[in-house]
Amino acid sequence: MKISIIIILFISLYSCQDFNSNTADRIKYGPLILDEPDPNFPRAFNIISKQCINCHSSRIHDQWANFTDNKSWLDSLLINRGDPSNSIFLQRIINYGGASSNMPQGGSALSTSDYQHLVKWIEEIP
Amino acid sequence: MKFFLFFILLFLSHKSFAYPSFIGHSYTSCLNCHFNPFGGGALTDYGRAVSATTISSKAFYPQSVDDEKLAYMSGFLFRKPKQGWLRTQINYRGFNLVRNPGSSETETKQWINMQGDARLILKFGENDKFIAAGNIGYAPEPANPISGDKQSEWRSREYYLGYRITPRLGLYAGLMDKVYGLRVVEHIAYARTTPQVTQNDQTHGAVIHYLSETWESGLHFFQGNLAQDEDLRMEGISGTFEKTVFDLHRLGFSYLSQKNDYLELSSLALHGRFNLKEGSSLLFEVGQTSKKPLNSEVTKANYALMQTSLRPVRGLYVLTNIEYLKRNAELDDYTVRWGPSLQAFPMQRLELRLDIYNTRNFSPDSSTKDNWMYLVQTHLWL
Repeated sequence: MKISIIIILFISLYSCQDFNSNTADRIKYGPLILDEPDPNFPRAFNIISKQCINCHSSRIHDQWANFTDNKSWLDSLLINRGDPSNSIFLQRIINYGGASSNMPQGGSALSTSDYQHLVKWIEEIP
Repeated sequence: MKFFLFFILLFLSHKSFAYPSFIGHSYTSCLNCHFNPFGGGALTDYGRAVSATTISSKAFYPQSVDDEKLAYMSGFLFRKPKQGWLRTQINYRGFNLVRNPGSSETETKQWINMQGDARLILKFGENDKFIAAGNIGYAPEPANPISGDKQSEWRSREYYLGYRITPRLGLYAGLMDKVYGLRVVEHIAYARTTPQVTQNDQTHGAVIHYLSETWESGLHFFQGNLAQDEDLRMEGISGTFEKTVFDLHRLGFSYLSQKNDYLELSSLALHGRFNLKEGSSLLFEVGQTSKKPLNSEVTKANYALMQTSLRPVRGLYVLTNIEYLKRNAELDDYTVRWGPSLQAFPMQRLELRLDIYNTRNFSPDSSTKDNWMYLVQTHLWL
């Protein structure tokens, strides 16, 4: 009886939630597979991957690693098509955004070139 | 049969997180109170009794109820177990999380059912040298799961077989937390998130534990969480060593090395636990974690944690947490998070906790506003 309880316990507990610190590793660090025809998107996503996804890849800070096309970003309401100045995503970036800009936290500020590309990306989203 | 077993588990047991700060009560080793020699997981009968008679307040009990009665009532369903081979526990944690309090624009409030689980312990042999332990329970689905990856809301964080070859030497095999650092209950602590030993980072493997009169050590060989896709599983080794100093305190170090198909991570930490007497304690951990993503350069992150836990009266602890994180040791930017906490055990099987966090980022290039957050937690167990 005791042995059967042990066996059943192990079998019944095997297939459960497996989300952990490494669940997004394939997306964060694996080969980049983007299904987005917008020519501005790959560089924008690359900037976001390097500067943002290290933190924005958890239950609390959103899984931006999942946002591999323009539609995901637009649906998240973090960006407004054609309107970078009113896009929350850009408003939060240090040295460029508004009063509440403090991103990336604990990391180096975006270069001017990278910031300008993000503006271009949002301005020109098809 | 699965349903029947689950039905039994649900009504049969208490899960507790680890509280390394209880060195303040002169418990240098977690094995004093836990089946898991590195803490966390189910409490032994002795651990339940300590929880009822030392940790929890008795202010709300009639005077006729003394500590002996409290110890007797500390078993599951408030009674002493009638047999020696089966122990069970059930546990709930929920909290109200408020971010940016006081801001009309950015304040958010959210109630989170963090945990609700049942635990089963089978123990046999002289001095319970053989054990089989397991738990299963509710875990919130990730707020933004990986596209196409539907996560269950049921999770097991621990199931293993254990064998104490001698009272000093034990072997354990199964799904367990990695043996590394201080297993503090604050799972968002940088000391846990940076080396990736958070509340969901359990792994399948084997643990060797050794406890002597003046030191304690553990070695963990692991294959990753076997429920996860093979390319994501972190395989590796970890270990910890602690020495008792001046009969009261513990100093130690930990090491962790693991990798999957996309990331190599290693971490080294120094840690200490100091008994300040009468239930009060001081904990610290400083560490450096190296991460090497596939086709990318190594990044070293430095972190530190200091936590004081003062017990003015039985059942009440006043904590102060200070954390430091430098995500990239080559840059000048760093983050400090600090705040007070109030932890109350008004009676056995009940914990109430208030945590306030201030997060401040320091950078030579910019000045940013502080982030404030507080959470009010309720923890119940049977």
